[in-house]
Amino acid sequence: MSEVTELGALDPESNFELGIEARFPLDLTSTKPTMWEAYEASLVQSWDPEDESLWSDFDFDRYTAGERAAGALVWSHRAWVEHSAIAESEAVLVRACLEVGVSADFKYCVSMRAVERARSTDLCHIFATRLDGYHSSPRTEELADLLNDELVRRVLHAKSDIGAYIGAHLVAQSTIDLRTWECARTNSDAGLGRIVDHVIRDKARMLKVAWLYMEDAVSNNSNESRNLISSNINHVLFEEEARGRQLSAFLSSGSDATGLAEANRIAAAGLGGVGDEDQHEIFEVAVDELTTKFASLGIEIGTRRDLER
Amino acid sequence: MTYTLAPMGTGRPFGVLEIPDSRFPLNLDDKLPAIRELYRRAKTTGWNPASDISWDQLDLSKYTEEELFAARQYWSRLAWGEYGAISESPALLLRYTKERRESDLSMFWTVRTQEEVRHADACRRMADALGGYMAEPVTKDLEESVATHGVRGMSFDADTPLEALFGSLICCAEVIAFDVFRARIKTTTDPVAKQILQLIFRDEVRHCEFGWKYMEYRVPKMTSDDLAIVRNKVIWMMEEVELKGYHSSWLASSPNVTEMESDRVVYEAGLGATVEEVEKPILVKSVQEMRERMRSWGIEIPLFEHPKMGTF
Repeated sequence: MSEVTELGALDPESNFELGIEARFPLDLTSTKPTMWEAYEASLVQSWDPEDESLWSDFDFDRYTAGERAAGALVWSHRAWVEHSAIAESEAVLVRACLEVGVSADFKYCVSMRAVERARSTDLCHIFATRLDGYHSSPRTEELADLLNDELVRRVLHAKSDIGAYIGAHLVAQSTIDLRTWECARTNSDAGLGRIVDHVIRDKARMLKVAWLYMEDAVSNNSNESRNLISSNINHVLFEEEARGRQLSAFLSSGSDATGLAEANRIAAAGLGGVGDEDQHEIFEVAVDELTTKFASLGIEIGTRRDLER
Repeated sequence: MTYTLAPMGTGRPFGVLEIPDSRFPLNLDDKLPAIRELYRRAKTTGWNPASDISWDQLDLSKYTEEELFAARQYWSRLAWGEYGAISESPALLLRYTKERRESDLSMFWTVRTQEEVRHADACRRMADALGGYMAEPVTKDLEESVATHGVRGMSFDADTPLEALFGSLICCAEVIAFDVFRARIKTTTDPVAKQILQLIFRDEVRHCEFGWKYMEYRVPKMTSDDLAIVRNKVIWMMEEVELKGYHSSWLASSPNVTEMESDRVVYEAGLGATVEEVEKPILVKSVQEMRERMRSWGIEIPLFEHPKMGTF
C-alpha cells in the first residue's frame, strides 16, 4: 500500500516520485472477463461527433438566439470538464502500468476511456460552436482553480495510493459526471438526446469497470488502506465536487455561478442544461449511491458536516 | 500559440510534471489541419483483433514444432514491444497537456495509444494461437533486448524539448521500425500473420506521419539552437539506441544468438520475422531518407558507422 492520499502528491515541498516498472512477467491475457467484455464493447460501439449524420436529427433553427447562447455556455463548461479527463485517463494508464498486478483488462479499458473523453470533448466543443460559439475560459478564478486540479500529478505520484485515486475519481467523480449527463439527456430534445446517448453509454461502461477494479482492489485491503480510500473520496466529494468542480450550482458566487445557473436554466428546455435544483439532487443522490456501494466494500463515506468538524 | 515550458537545466527529472496546471484559456477552436486529418482517419479505420482477423485460416499443421515454438516466442516479443507503447507513450500526451500544446495532438494521441492496445492484443492472440503467449523471455538476459528506450522518462524531462523527442523517437526510431515492418509484411507468407502485420502497419503509417507533420509545422518557428538540440537527439537515438540493437538485435555488440536463430526459423517459416540480410539494406535506405527529409528542416545528420554496416 502507498503511504499518502493523492493530496500528498501536490505538496510542492515533497520531491515528485515516479514508480519503477517491473515489466515481466507481463500477463496480457484476460483475467477479468467482465472488464474484457467492456473493452471489446468499446471497440465496436465507436461513434464520431464529426460524423454529420449524427447531427441530422437536430434542428438548430428551433432555438432562439438567447437559448443558443445559453446552450453554448453550458456545453463549453462541459467541454472543460471532459477535456481534463483526457490527460487524467492517460496518467491513470501510465500509473496502472507502473503498478504490479493490475490486469491488462483494466489497462485496456482505461486506454478506451481516453479515446472516449476526447470524443466527448469534441462533441461538447462542436455543439457549443454551432450553437453560438465556444467559450474558452471560465469567467472566474474560482471555477478555473477547481478545474486546474493537478490530476496528473496526483495519480502519478508513486506514494499516492492508486486504489484511493480510482475510488475518488474514476468512481466517485465519474458517478456525478454520469448522473449529470443522464439528467442532461432528460433535458435534451429528441435529436440531441440520441447524440448524448452515445456519451452516456461510454461513461456507464467505464464506471462499471472502475467499480470492478475497486471490488478487486479492496478485497484484501487492511483497515488502514480502506481509511485512506475513504479519506480521499471524502476530500474529492466534499472539498472539490461540492464546491462546484462539475456542478456549477455549488459555486459560491461570481459570474460563473450566476452565468452558468442562468444558462443551465434556459438550456434545460431541450439543449441539455441541468438546473440548479437538479444539480443539487444529482449530488445528493450520487453521494447516497456511493455511500451504499462503498459501504458494501467496507469503505465509509462521510458527509460534508463530518469533514467540517 | 504560446506554450508553457518548464525551465531547463534544473536537474529535476520530472520537470515537465512540475508545470502547474493552467488549462485556461482552453483553446479548442484552432485546429492543426494535418493532425486533425490524421485523427479523422484514425477514427474511421478502427479494427477489432477478435473479429477482423481471419483466425480460422491459421493452419498449424503446416509448421514444425520448432517453428511453432520460435513463432510463439516471436509474437510474444512483438506483444511486449507493443505494450511498451501502452505503458510509456501516454506520457507524451501528458506533456502536450502540461505544455499547453495544440489540442489536436492530444486528440490524436488518445487513438494512437488505443491502437497500441489493439496491436498488443492482436500479437498476444497470435502467440496464443501458435501454442501459447509467453509472459516473459525464456532467458533473463533477453529482457534487456526488449527494454525500452525510455520514452516515459524523456517525456517528463524538461531538458529534452518535445520537438527533439518527435525528431528522435518518431521521425527516426519509429520510422526505421516502420520500414522494417513493411519488409516483414513482404516476407511473411502465413495468411493470418500477414493480415495482422498489415493491420498494424496501417496504423503505424499514421503514427509516423504524425511526427513528420507536427515537425513540419514546428520547424519554421524554431531557432537554430532548437534545431541543434533536435539534431543531437537524433544522433543519440541512432548511435545509442538503434545501432546498439534496440530494434534489430543483430546490431548489438554482443547479439543474442538464441534470439537471432529463433527469428531466422520464424522468417524461413514465413511466420513474421525478418533477419539481418533483409534488414541491412532497409536500415541504410531508411536513414538516407530520414537524412534527406531532415535536411529540409535545416538539420544535417552525419554518416554513421557500425562494424556490421560500415559507413552509411
